[in-house]
Amino acid sequence: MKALVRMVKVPLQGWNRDGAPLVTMEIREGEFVLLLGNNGSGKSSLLNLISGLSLPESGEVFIKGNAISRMSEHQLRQWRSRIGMIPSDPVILEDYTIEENLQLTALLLGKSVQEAASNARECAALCGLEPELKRKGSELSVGLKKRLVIARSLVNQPELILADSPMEALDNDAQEEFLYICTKLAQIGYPIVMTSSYPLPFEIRALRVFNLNEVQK
Amino acid sequence: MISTAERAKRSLKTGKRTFFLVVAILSLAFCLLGQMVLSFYSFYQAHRGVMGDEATIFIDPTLNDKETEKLVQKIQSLTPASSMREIQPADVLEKDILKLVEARKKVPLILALQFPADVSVSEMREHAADIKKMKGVEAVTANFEWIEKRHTLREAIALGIIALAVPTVLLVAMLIVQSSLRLRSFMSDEQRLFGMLGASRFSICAPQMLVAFWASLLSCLFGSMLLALSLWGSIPLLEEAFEVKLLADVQTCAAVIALIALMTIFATVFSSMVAASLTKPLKF
Repeated sequence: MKALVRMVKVPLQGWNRDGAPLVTMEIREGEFVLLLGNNGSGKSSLLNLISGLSLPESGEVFIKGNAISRMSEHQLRQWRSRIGMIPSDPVILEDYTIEENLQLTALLLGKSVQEAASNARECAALCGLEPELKRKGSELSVGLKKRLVIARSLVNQPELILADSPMEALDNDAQEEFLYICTKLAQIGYPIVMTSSYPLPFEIRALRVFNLNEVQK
Repeated sequence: MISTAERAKRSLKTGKRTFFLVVAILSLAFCLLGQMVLSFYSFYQAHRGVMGDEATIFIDPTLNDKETEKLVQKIQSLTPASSMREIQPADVLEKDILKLVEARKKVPLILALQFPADVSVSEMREHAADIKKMKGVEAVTANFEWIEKRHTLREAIALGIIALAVPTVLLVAMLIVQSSLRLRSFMSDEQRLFGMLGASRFSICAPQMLVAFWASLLSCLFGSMLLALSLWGSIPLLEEAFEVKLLADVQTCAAVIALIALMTIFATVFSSMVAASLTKPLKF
C-alpha cells in the first residue's frame, strides 16, 4: 500500500519545543489508524498537521510525497477539500437542514449541483440520516449532529478521513453505532485516522493503534 | 440548491441588528463624506474661473508699431502662459494719464499682463524685474503687497481643505473597516468551518461581500436622503444670507454623489472581502 501521509520527526505538542518527543509515522491508503493518547498529548495537533491547518516548525509532513511546508495556500486548501474532517465538537450550520448542510458542503468543495444532491442523499443514507433530512441543525441532538458531521465528511468522496475524539459525549449505543459506521467506511476503502484518549470499547479488525503516550516515554 | 444570496440571507437572520447598525453608521459616514466632497467641489467650481494677478506695463510711446510689436512678443515669450491686453486711455483716470504723459506730451501704450493662477509671487516679482530691464519698457507696476496677501489666503484655504479632508476620509475609511468587521461577526462561524473544510477563498467570502453590498447600497440611499435634507435645509439660507452661490447645479451634485456612492460601495465590498479572507479556519 502506498503512503498517503508521512510524518518525519515532527515534534509532539508545542512545535520545536526542546525535549518534545519526535513522531515519525506513515498513514497508508485504506488504513484505519487510531492515535491513542492522554489529554494534551498532541493528538489534535497531529491532525492539524496532517490536514495542513498548522505547519510543522521542525521535521516535515509529506502528502503523497509532497512536503506540506512547501505547499501554497491554494494547494493546502485543495488538500483539505480532499479530506473528510470530523472535529471533536460537532460544528454544523444550525440554520440549515441536514440535507442543506450536506449539499452546501459538497457544492463548496467543488461538486456540481446534481452531484451535490446525490452525494448528500447517499451519505445521509450511509449514516442513517435519511428520515431526518428536512430537520434543521438547531433541532438535532448531539448524537445526530455527530452523524451529520460524519456524513458531511463523506460528501466530497475524501481520500482520507480525520476524526478528532469523535466518540466523546456519545453514549454506549451511539459509540457502537459510530464505530460501526467507521468500520463500514474502512471496509469500503476510506482511510481513517481517529484520535481517542482511551482504547476503543469494541474490537475492530485491521485497526492500527499508534500510542502517543508511549512516544512521550 | 443553496445560492450565495440564500447563504447571505440566512446569515442576516441571525445578524439583523448588527446589519442595521452597520447601515446606520455607513449612512452617516456617507452623509459626512458627501457634505465634504460637495462643499469642496462647489468651492473649486466657483473659483476655477478666477484668473491670476496682473502687472501693468508702460511702453515707451516713441517706439514705432514694429518695435512695439517686437517688444510685446519678447515680453510674451518670457511669460508664455500669461495673457496680455491693452488698456485704453479712456479706462484710466485723467490725473493718472496726465502724470504718465508729463513732459513727453504723448500717452504711453499701457499693457495689462495677467499671470496664470499658479504663478507664485516671487516668480511674478522676477518676471516684473526682467520686463522692466527690457529696452522700450518705461515702467512695470503691480501691487505685490496685496497679491502676496491674496496668495497667503489661497494657501490657507487649500491647507484648511486638506486639514479637513484627510481626517474625514480617514474617519470614513475607519468606519468602513469597522463595519466590515461587524458584518463578519455574525458570519465568521460559517467562514471558519468552510475554511477548515477546504472551500475556495471566494466561496467563503462571497456571502459577506454580498451582505456588504446590500448594506452599502442601503447606506448610500439613506445617506443621500440625509444629505439632500441637510443641504436643502441649510444651503438656500446661507446663499441668501451671504449672497453667494455655494453649490454647483443639481445634475453636477447628483453626479458627484453617484461617484461617491460607487466608491463607498466598492470600498465596503473590498474591505469585507479582506476581512472575510482573514478569518482563521477552524482547527481540530
